[in-house]
Amino acid sequence: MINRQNYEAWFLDYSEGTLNPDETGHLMDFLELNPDLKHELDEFKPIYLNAESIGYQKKESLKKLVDYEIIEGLDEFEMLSIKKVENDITDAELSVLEHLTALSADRKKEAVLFEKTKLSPDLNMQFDNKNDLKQKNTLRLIFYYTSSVAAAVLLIFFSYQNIKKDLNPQVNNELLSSNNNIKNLNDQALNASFSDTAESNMQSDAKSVKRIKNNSDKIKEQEVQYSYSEVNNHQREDISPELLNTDVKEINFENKNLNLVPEIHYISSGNSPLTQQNNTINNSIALTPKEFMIKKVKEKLDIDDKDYSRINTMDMVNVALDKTKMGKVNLSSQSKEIAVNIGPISFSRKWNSE
Amino acid sequence: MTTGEYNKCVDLYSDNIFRFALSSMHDMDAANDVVQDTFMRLWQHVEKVNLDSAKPYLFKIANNLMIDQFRKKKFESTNQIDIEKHSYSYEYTDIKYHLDKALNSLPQIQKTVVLLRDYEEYSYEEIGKITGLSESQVKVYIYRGRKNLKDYLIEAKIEL
Repeated sequence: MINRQNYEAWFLDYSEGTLNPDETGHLMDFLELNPDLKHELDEFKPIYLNAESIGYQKKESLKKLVDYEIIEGLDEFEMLSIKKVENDITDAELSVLEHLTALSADRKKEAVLFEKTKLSPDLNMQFDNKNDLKQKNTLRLIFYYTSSVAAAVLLIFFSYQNIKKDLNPQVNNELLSSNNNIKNLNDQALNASFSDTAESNMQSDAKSVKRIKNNSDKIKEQEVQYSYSEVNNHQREDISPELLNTDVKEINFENKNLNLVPEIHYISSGNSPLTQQNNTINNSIALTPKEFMIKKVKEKLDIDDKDYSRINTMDMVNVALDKTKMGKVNLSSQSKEIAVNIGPISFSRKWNSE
Repeated sequence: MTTGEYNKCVDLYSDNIFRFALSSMHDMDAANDVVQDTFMRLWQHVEKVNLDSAKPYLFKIANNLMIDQFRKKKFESTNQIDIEKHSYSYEYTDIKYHLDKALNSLPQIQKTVVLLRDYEEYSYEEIGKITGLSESQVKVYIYRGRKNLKDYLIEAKIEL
């Protein structure tokens, strides 16, 4: 209820129009009883402050002049100096940097040294062998063709290594069931070769060579025939297992892990060594796998040694594996053949089952 | 990329890769090998790489090859360049001599990002793609690299 102790609040509410009719009636009754306060109500005007007109006029002075992250280990001066070198500095930051630089002679020297950390390449430093890097279009063909030959030679060698396993019927069946998955064969061959021989090659190449040769000697080769053919022109030539078995030596492959590959005798006559063993042994041209590859590639593409030397053997093999297919052919109940097609080259192994 | 475009890359970028490798490794033979191997890799994947993206691709390969080198043998070479003696048409001023030594004193990653930044004017983002670092990591390595270069130059007490 309104009284002389709280009438100012009623006056304020009245002036702001927030009293309801009943409350307004009470206020009027109160003024009738207290007429001395009427003029006070008449003079009562609320004071409204204009917020926008009031402000701190020096707020700019409170602001941070620069806003940048500090990298741990660098102080403000170093940070700004590097920003300047990096051409990443704002005008405000530049002002701060100039201020900081001016503080001491050491800072001035440091600022100059920071500018010197901007490196510039010495254009006299040039690679002299550009022409050796350039490629002729034929080289791609060489790479493609050679990779196929390289992989084929290696695969036939590896499969040759596994002949002893093949004589076990169970292993043989597993091998034959791996149609269309030459990588399995290759992995198997690689694992067998690398784990069994290549690692030890590093320690004892000569010993490994001897072991391979001894293993090979135990195999009855007369029943196994290796052939290769070029798919496009259907030429077929044979590689004699008899000859494969005759000489084993280290050859110098680019990749150390492949440095132990026996000589493969390439028979240029095209006649089966099975029927002309004695003659072909005498007339054959002994080639390492690498020499074999070079010979075939040169024949195919008419290139010189310099072009060929740009090809890395392992690269060729890796590429070739992507385009390798393997198939099994049952020639008869007693005669079987595994064929490996790698790009334009096909290798096969034929044997008579017991 | 065609064979012609590949050969164009050899003309355009082999010097850059060579400078990058030589400045990083300070070994002439190793730098030559890096260039050879880098372009061999490009040639192997020439059909997958566009001419426009060839340069960062080459730098990425070169950088990876150098990392492999450092990991393999922690880089001890008899072919390291003697800055004071080699006459690779450099004319070392005092500042350049010390700056080169300062660069060689940097941790490998700092050296790599600073070289890519200054020699090739790559952005932080581009350097990140080449080195496999985030943009902010690249920035931090560059800033720390420059501070280390500056500190080395102060230690050397060179005349300005």
